Amino acid sequence: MATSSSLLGSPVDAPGLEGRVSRLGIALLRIVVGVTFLHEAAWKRPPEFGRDTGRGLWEWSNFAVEYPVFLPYSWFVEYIVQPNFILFGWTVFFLEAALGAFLILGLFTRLTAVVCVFQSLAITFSVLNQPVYSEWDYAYYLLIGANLAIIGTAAGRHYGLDAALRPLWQRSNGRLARLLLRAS
Amino acid sequence: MSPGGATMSESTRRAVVVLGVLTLLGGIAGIVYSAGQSFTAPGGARVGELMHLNPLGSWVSIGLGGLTIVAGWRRSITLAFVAVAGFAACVVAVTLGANRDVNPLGGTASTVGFHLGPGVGVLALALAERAASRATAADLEPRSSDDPEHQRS
Repeated sequence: MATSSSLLGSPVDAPGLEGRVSRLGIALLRIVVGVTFLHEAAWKRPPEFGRDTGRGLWEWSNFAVEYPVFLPYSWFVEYIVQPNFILFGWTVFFLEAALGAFLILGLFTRLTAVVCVFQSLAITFSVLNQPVYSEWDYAYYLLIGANLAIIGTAAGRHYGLDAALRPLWQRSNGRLARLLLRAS
Repeated sequence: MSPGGATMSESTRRAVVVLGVLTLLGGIAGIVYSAGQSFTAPGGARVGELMHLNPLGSWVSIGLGGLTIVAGWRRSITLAFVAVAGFAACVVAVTLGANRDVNPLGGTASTVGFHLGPGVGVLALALAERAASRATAADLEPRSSDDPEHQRS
């Protein structure tokens, strides 16, 4: 087991990955997935999020209704999302910004990656059958798989902020600290 | 002295400095990419593939990064909270300005993430450090049942 101290905290608290190359590899995967989410956040444009022009987030979420992939999700978009579209837009605006930033930094990583899996599923259920834009289906499957790997390896404990935070949470007595230990 | 007498451990100090350096580097990249823009251009320049910043947003990020580095360098939790307030102000400014005519930092949702990440990171580190220090101090205090003075009364 590696016992040397990393840049941010100790790897001792991160079982399952041995050797610097493995730990650097999973950290790099986490950062690339984070950059993907942060990059994609940029085109969620308030205050209308494309509802006034039929483009942007409105167009992409509407694909779930026009070209259904998973009928319960299409129903959810048509009857829950679209009537409350501005609220949905702001939720996506903050969610993707936070998911990207937290994955890049390795902060609350396991919880963040779980949310990323659901977000990736929502995107997949929206766009998989749309014929308008040329999309590579496997990109969405890869995104889901990458986030599952991040959850499984607790990737924030390798060159991430979780590595510095976990020893502090372990010393605390509070319920929040115990929850954050599970989230990291 | 920081609130509650807490200072930063070595790993927290390093993490805060790293967050400051990342913010500083993002601001410097913003200066390079936004060269030629007006100082408060509402549509900031695209900085790499990550975010948008205009020159004002870039200089503000450099200032915040520098402040965060100083907070870590001096192990000051008080300064760390001041930096967190700065990051929060940037998140609010970009959120209110994004895709509008008045967008002082020239940011988008990606820029919100650029300030939100280090802000929440420094906040989590400062709060966790303070809570851990208090828990350690409480463990070191004698319990009332062990205190002979307390037993006599």
